[in-house]
Amino acid sequence: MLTLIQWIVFLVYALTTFFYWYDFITEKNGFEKKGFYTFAIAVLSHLGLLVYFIYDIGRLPIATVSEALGTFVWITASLYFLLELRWKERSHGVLILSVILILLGNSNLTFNISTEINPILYDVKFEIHVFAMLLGYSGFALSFIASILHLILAREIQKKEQGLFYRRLPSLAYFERISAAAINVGLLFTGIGFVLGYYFAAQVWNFKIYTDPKIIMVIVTWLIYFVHFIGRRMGKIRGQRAALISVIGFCLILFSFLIISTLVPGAHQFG
Amino acid sequence: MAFVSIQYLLKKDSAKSKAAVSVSDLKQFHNTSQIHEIFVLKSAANIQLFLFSEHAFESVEHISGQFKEIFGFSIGSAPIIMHENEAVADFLKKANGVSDSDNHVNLLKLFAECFNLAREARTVGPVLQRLFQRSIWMHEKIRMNTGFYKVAVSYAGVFCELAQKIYDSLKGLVVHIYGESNFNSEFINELHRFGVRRFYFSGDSEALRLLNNRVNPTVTVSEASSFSQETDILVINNSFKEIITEDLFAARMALKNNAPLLVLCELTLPGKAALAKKFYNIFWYNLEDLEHLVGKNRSARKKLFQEIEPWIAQEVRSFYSWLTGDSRYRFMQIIGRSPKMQEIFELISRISQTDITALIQGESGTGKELVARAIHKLSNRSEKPFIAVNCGAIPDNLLESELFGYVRGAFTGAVNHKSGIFFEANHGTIFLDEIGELPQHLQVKILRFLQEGDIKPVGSNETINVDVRVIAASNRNLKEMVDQDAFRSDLYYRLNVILLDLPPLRKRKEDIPILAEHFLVKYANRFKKDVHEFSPEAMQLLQTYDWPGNVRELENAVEHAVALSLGKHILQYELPSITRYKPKSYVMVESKESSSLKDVEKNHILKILDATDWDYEKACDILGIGRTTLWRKLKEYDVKQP
Repeated sequence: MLTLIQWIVFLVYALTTFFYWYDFITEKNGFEKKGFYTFAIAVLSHLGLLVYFIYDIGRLPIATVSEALGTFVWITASLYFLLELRWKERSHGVLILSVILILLGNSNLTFNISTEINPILYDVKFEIHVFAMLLGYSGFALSFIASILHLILAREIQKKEQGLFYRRLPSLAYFERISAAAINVGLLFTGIGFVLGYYFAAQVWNFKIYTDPKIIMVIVTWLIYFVHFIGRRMGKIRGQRAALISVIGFCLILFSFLIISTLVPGAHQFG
Repeated sequence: MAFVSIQYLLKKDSAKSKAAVSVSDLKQFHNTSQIHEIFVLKSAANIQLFLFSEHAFESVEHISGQFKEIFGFSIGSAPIIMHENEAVADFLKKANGVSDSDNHVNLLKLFAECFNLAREARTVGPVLQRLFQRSIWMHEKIRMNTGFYKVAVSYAGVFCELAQKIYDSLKGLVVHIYGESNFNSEFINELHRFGVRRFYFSGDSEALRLLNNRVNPTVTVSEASSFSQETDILVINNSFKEIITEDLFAARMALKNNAPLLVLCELTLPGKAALAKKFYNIFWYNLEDLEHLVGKNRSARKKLFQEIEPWIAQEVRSFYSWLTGDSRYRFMQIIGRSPKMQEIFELISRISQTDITALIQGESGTGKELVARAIHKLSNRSEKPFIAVNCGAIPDNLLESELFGYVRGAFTGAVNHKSGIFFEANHGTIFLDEIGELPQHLQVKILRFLQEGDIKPVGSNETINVDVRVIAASNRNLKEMVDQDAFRSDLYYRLNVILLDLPPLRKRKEDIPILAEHFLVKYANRFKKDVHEFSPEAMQLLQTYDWPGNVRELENAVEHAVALSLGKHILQYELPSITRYKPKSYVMVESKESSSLKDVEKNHILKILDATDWDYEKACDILGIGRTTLWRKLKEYDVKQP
């Protein structure tokens, strides 16, 4: 049942992605309603899926990489949906939805309900920790997309090859603004999440930070984004340079999320 | 019937060529050439005549000769002459700016200016008026449905677009211009239009003069060597290429925290461009790059033009079928050849494509609903419902539930949910006739709808958002009602975004014959009678009568006459008896045998003045006397405008 709903949600996202790409390539003007409605349905049905999961299993869907990925996708999609409502600018949609689609597909394919879940994960404190982390990562993801688009647009401007992206995308300044705001949100929530996690973990296990590769990766990426933040404040890191750092930061997150979590053993192995 | 366009190239150096076309010249040309309708389009380098005549032209060369003689422009080379379809298509293309060469905005503006001139000189009639109306309508259609007008095809336009891609908004940016160039003025104009108000510049007197004419830019003239470190956009012309140094960029980037800098260089300077590459937020463009962009946009526009071309071809076809058919003086079921009605038709074409609220004011029987229907038919909502409501015909206590609907249990007898007219007209148009009769509490509700776009059914706590275009009409003067507190002023101002003031029939007597003939054909067909025309006396009677019931009364009178008619002509006594009473106009004394010549003259002058709505110029034309004579005679008879 759960798997079926998961794939239905995936299909709605796929349909939304198709509409967004279609509008992007055919250069339709304005706020096209079709894509907007299917996007709303996708986000709501995904929320329904999460609620069903919580009701059925009795905990938040964040225990395994696959579950966390699904939740992460929903947070990112909702954040972007709100952003779109606010800014009435849909050109990011094509990339964000494409990334979402890939991640969700990945999550659905690797999904299996493990019966041997560490009881720690039924604890609300840890749920808050994971949720804050996921929210922070969503911020980084949005910044990543905005930065990629920034780089594409800046490249088209510099190479003087004004193509499809030049015509369809808003300005460099716009992407810079969005990316910076998203990183600020990301820094705040991952910061909170990290401190909470460390505090609670210290109560449960007796462990040292540097033994868990995932925690080390989180610290590294957090520092990268923090450099981004300070550099921006000082006016040293701007434009393409800022965008590049954001992209690198997010690649590291993906690396730690998808590769290290599954391959290297450490404190974050619960399954 | 013939439609011709003659286009001349003007000599640039001639002083006369810079001057505008004068009304008196136009009038003279109209009189000597005996062409029915003339429209002269004059731009800086071109002059083009659009001529329409009911008969074929004897010789275009002859007309061309007359034109040259009267206007005295020095013409460059042999004119380009276009006939019929080609000329009509050319008119439409030029008016819509869908040719590649010119900027569209200025061209439609130019058309409107030249058209006003032609109207003043009375050289345009229904044919050219219609063509102009259709052009405006098409312009709106192109604007709403394609991105054609958004594609910039000038250097400055493309440059501003580029700057927008970098900075988002150009407001608050600082522009520094070095040196003289032909493009400076174009750039300054366009940058100013996009909101740039701070210009620095070095070394060009012409540009300075242009800047100083602007309303509120801050202009600073700086020394050739100095450089404003706040600069966001740098324009460097040939003579100043030496100022570009690494230090300059370094200072600028340090001061403005590496904020993006857009440089436009007139020449291609590879060495300097490489210099700029050392800094990561500098965008370097040459004029050559802009040219490349313009070329690209041109081809993009050409592609869009292929989309538009069939519309133009279609428009030309429908224009010809209108021209040759019997519907010449018709505009979407409305009939009128008088200038006032032509203006109304133009206004309808102008506003139909947008969702703007319109207020139609006119006496009973002037065709308010027809106008509303025409607006709806020409809009993008034409496939959706058009619902007309007569606010005066529905009892006050029912009106609210009629308009907004009610929910179950809202009042005794409300056993079911009922959706109101507003809900049923969703995505369509609602026509509120007699809006002046609307009770106060409903005026508030309508106002709320106009402002928020949502309605609240009777007895419901929830509002429903509906997308409806509102067209209101009133046969009473709403402004007066507002003054007497009988109508809410806020609603009045919200409705009165566009006012269509329909003239009563007595003020457009030239429309009576075509209207009467239209109704004659209609009722002859309906009653299966072989009636062809009005007898001259009957027509005379129709034209002298005042028609307090306007077109509706005229229609009924003709219906009456056709029903009674025995022969092929409608005779005077077959018209309703009321029309045979003396007209209730300013002129009360008919010329009798006993009246003196002076009395007859006085009455005649008054009659003509009355008919022309006290337009002295028109009256003089008809009477065949000069203005001074008219003035002297009015003084002599002690007549003043009522």
